[in-house]
Amino acid sequence: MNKTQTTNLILIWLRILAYKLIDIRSKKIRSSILGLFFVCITTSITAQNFKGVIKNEKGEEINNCYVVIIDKETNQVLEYTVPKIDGNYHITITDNNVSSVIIKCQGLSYTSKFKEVVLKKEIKLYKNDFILNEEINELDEVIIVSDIKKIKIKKDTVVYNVSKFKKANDRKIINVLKNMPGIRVNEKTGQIIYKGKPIETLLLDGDNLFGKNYSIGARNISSEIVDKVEAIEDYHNNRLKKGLTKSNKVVINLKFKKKKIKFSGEIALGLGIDNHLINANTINLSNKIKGFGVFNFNNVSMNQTSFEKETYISENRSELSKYSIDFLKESSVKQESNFPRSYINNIKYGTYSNLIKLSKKIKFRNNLSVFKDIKKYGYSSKNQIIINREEINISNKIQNTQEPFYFKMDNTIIYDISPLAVLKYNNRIVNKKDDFYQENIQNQNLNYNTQLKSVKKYFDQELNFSSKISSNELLEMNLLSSNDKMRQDVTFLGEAIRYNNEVFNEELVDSKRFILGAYLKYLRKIKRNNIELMLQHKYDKEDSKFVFNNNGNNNAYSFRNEISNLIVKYNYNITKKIKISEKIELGRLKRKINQKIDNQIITKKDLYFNTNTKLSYKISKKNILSIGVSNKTSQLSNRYMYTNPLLIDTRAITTNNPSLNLKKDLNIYANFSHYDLLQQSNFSLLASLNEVKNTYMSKQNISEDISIITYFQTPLTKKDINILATTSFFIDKINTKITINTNANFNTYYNLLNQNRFQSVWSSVYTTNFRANSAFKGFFNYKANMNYSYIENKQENSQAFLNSIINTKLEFNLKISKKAYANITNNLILPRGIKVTENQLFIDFSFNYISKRKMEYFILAKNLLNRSTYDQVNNTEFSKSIVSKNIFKRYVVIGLNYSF
Amino acid sequence: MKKIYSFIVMFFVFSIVFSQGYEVTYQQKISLGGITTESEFQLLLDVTSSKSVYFELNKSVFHENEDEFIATDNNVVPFVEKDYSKKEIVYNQPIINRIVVVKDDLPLQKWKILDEVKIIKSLKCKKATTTFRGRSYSVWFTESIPTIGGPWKFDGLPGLILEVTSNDGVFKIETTKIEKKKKTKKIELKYDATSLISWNEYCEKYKKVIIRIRKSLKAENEQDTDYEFNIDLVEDIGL
Repeated sequence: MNKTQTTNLILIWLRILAYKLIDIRSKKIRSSILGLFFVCITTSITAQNFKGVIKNEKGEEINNCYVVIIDKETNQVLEYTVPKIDGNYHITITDNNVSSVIIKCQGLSYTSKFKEVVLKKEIKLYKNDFILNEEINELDEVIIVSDIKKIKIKKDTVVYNVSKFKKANDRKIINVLKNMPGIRVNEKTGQIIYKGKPIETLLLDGDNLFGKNYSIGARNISSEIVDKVEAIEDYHNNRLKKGLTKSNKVVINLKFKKKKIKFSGEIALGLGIDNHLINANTINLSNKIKGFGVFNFNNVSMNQTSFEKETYISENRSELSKYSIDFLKESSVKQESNFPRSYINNIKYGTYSNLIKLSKKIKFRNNLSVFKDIKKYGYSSKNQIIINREEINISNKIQNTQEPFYFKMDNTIIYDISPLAVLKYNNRIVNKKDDFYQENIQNQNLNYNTQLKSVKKYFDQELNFSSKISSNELLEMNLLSSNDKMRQDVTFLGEAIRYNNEVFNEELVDSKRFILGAYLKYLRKIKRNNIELMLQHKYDKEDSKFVFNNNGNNNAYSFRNEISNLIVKYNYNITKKIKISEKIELGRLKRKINQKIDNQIITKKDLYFNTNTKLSYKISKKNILSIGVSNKTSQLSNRYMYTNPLLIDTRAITTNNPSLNLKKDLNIYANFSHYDLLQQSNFSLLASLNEVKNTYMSKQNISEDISIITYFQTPLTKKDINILATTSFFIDKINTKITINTNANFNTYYNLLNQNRFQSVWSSVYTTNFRANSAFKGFFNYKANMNYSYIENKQENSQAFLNSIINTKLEFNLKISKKAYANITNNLILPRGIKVTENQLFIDFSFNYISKRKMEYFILAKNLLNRSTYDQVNNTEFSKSIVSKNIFKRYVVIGLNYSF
Repeated sequence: MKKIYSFIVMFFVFSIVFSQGYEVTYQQKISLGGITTESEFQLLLDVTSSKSVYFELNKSVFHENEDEFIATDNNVVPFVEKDYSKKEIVYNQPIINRIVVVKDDLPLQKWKILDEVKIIKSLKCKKATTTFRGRSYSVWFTESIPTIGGPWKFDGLPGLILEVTSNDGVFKIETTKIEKKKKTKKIELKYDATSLISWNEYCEKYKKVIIRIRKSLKAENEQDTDYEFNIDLVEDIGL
């Protein structure tokens, strides 16, 4: 029997003895006491103890030293200790395999000493005293071991970099981005928001290929080729401004995997009985050239291109602000549905972007996009209008077809003249042709057909020079010009449209706009603060012409605006946590309207003063409070300046009583946000008040045949109060993430109907969205979403009118295997006043199977119950409408996706 | 209750009366996930009271009376504090973006001393190896400075540790300056002594946070997204 077996036998015997001797009821206490007993016995049987006293030469006990025990054979340090104040030390080792040790006693002030000890089984205590000789060395001593290297300063702009992507699934980066902490994605527009701020662009390995039009890139770049994602705060498009000013702009930088093959892409092809879905994208990455292209052809009611209406608005605000007036914007002929299932399409789209580094100093960026669609939107409506107790009933059965065609080209050259100066030139060309057709059966017996052909040509260019005149100062000069021409030709067919004893059959509207502007900017950093001064002048000329019935009846206008202003911006860090930023604008506005038909000229000159103050307080790492007040004076759009009546569709005429008074906007807001990354929870509350004076109002004269809308400027104040609260949190017990958004908006405005007096209208809109997403481990997960909107309109001296709608969506995600997954979506939409019927229920289905690394098969089926219409109720203070919208037919598309 | 206590910052002052000690400056480099962080740290070793403090330099330094006085805030400065007589070690660690303070028992490593010898600036150094929290390390220590001390959490050798390298190249500490002082700097560390947790508790908390983030991301993701959320750490927390 060896030592271990003997020990075990003894332990078993002791345990039996313990059970008999100790009579304790609680099993738990008994087992823990026994455990302790067991440990004590074990320790005392196998442990070896080393004790002693440490003294100096004088015989005094010392403890400014320590004792180390090293296994002599293996050279393993077994234990160490510092003696107590009386010089006594005690070390215990429990390793059975040690046969001899070195006990070393050492201290900074002493010469080290050691002893070798051979361990014997029968000896459990080894006594070793030490007498240490002092080493006298009073002098301070410095030893330089190596050169001190430069310490890298952590960049403030790189916020975090924590995600890694697993093996290839060939899926899109936009879906991965939306799952990263702090990032949200707007599903409709593809806009990416980081910590509440919309990002400026998506960089590819630090290079800016997309500019503002990044959504197409995010939607198409495969996550397989992306290695890391960086969110960079304090981004400057102009590298010279970095360090001079905090930009508050954020970008997302995609860092790609280092691959030999720099060219990759994807092709997806899906076919159904009457449907097709083809999508191809390619990406080319190298040091000198970066290119990205997308091609999409589909008629499955999907528009995820950069020409989708809201995406285009969010990505091209600067371009849209330079457009000439679209006088027919409110025409029902141009009306599109905001209900996604009513969008019936046939898209052909292609875009290609290139970024070429021509030399070390010169970069050239170019984008070319072509878009064509055939959009169909049909609906029937029944409107009951009550004015002065008089009831007017109108029914319409409308089919709108729109055929837009876009050609867009952007070019940018950036020349790094020197490390302190940059020259940049860019231009843009947009050619748009838009044809609209409307068939309208009104009141069941009147047939109206309207055709609207629209052609637009837009060109802009900008030259920018910036130079750092010292380490803290920057000078910038900018020149821009833009030219926009739009021609709209409206033809009325079918029933005659009469107004003022005249029959309308054709209208031609021509508008041209030319803008020339320049600014000079000076930026200076003062300690932790910065100041910016900008002197600007802009000349804006707009000419519009109206021709009716091709018979020479026409009217023409020219609008001239000249703005000169001085803008001062100041950012001041009061403390590390409190920042204030101020923008002051002092300007002079000179306007002139010339109505050519009777040579009537109206001119006005005004001085104005705008301010915008923001205070931000970083309460803690997780909580931020910000408050803002702004007051802005501006002119009304030229769109409200023409005086002739304009037939915008078969039953509406618009006209204006022009006025050149300036509009005044006052805005006050307060925002609190809380974000806890560890708890995965956040909360934000935003309250804002907006008051507008001298804005426009409309006077409406409604009859059975036609409505006449006249816009005019009013000194009455419109008020708007908005409160928005958002929270999300994760509940561990049920593995579910909950998100709640709630918004309350209160609005006062005025209406003027059929020669009545002004009546105030109080409108309140409440919207609540509740979302619950599960994160179960198994094959099943769900996403439940419920949206409730409640609108109340109350006109002076009359009862309130209510609208509400409940929209619920329930999605089941089934992970059948590692390679296959399916999704079933149920959508129930219930407007107020509509009973719950199967007509309000929609079901969609999709299935995906990854066969090999680069091939994926899919089935996409929408509107499985094959509903043909969707009903909606709309109540205003003077009308009730039931609208029945056509929706796309059921389709099933089977396809495959290949990546290379 | 714990939360209330944690709000009450308990002032924990080291008033060290130095007779002799060492001030050692180290360059610490961590390369993880493609990011390299280099920082300068200092080790203050007090022989009389058998204590040491290791902390990041370039934070607030100011002078009080004639003594150079460095105040550190546990939210900002990484530190490791050791008491060799009580065999205790206290250090601050992040859980992503939150800092907690951990208390452990010394020694944390089991060393094996090798026969290899190297001279570092006239100091004869011996090599020792260990595996500590999931990573293998080699260190060089000198018996010419016969003290247990070492940088970061490394300790327990019969000599001052001058150099630490992890075998995978992730972690590296090198001495740049060693000063033997009659009187070393005072150090003041502010942390709430009632909210110290053990290493096991720290690992459990961290794992819980990672799992929660993973689940939260999974809840928001699309079915066609497959990814892993991982944090690169020097020490293995058992994820």
